[in-house]
Amino acid sequence: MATLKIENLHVSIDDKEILKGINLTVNSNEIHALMGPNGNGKSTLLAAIMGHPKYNVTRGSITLDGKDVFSMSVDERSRAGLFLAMQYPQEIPGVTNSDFLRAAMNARSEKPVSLFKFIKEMEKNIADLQMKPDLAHRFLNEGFSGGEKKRNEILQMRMLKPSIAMLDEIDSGLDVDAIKVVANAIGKLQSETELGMIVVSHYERFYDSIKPTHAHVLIDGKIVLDGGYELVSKIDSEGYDWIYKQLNIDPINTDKQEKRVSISLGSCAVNRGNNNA
Amino acid sequence: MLKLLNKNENIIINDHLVSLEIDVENDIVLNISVQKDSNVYIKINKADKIDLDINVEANVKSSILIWNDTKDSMITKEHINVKENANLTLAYADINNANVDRKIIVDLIEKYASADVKTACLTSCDKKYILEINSKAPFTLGQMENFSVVLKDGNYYMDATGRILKGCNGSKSHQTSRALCFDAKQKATILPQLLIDENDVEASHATSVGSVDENQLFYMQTRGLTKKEVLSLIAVGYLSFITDVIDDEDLKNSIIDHIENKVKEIC
Repeated sequence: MATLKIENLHVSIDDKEILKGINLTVNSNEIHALMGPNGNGKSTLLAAIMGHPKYNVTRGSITLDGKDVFSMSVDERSRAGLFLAMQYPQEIPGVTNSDFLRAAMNARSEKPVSLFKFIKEMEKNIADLQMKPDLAHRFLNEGFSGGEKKRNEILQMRMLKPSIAMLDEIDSGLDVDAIKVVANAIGKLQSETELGMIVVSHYERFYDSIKPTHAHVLIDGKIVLDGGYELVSKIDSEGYDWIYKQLNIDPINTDKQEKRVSISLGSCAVNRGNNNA
Repeated sequence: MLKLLNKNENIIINDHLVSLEIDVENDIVLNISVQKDSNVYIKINKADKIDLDINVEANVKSSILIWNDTKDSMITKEHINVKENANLTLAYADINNANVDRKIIVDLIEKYASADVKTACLTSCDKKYILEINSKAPFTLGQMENFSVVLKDGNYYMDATGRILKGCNGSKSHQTSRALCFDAKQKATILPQLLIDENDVEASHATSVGSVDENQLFYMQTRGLTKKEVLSLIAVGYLSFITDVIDDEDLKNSIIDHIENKVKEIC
């Protein structure tokens, strides 16, 4: 039984506070749908849990099975059981999928995984996710389509078997059939490992496939509403306006307002030369 | 063919698979004539200075991998002539932990000659290259790819020149040079040059010097790899392209193992 506990989490980027006191507890076998309009802190929350250096935690605590997550490096968090499937997985030229995954599996076991066992497991997961068989030998995410990258995230999750996984818009870029394939793969892993999850998505179609046990709405850096699957359905049909009204939140204040400052790069030397000519 | 070289020699390459090992106390002068399609593997165990002349005869296709395994500083002067319709792939692996100073001149001296020069360098010391590919006849093709991983205290210098002389119409010159820096206290210098004295040619260059992207590092760490493990994987991936020149799978795997071990040792 794994438990991820987030208490009063405040996170800033460049002195701008993005998360303003998040409280959330995720246990094994639970699927928490994390919803909310764009730019309100969902991806920030997942990246901060995983320890992205860009995000500065100013207050609060996160524990995984009672252990302080902030005292762990990013790789230690992974080996402790956390997994983040990213919205925009990185491309790593020169490093093949299989070398990367094998190294990641070896990093979490005392004895290196046998090549035979590794290949067998990878081939099985590639087949389950209906991915191209040459994937193992291709460079990590390089030249992958959006859908292939997302499937590859789930492939990694299946191979690494975390206790708590965070899926950041894993359904974006997937077609209708692929959503089913990915949802089935997630469901299968959960039934095998009792995986707990935080899932960010904007679409009921995906949530319908994985059936969240909990749902939360994150607006302006705070979880403003909790519920069950009915909350997902209601947001899908009615949007967020009713929440703004019910909780008396002004959506204008929650939008990202970027100050645009005009800067001059000076005049082009070539033009200057022409003027002089 | 397997041959140990410990004195000045003229060598004729007539076999498909050739392995040469240089092991000499001081200096050595070698003249190699490549007369048949071939895969040549040259391992340098020890040498202070190497003067190397290679002639690739007309219509011959050859791949030559030069693996530097010296423990002490080495200087080389290398001059390669590629004749009509000959095709040379020349790969240098300087993964060892010792200074090297190479001057490599590749001349495409007859029409339709082509050369593809690749260098893979891992360094925490001084590694200096002056590399020129000169199109001296029409319809020639000169390409180079230089990849380096520069570690703490490393000093990488690559002066890469692609030259197309007057009258060499229809020729092409392309080059890519990239240096990946892992730590502080390191220096990487790349001087890409294209010297073109003819119209109706193609030429391009791409150069980058930089460290591992923060997001790439984060991504790989989120899968449980330490920073050191990430850097090792990236370094091996960055340098292993050099083995593409080898047909022999066993030799290829053995060289990749060598690269992995060297990277683990030095990183």
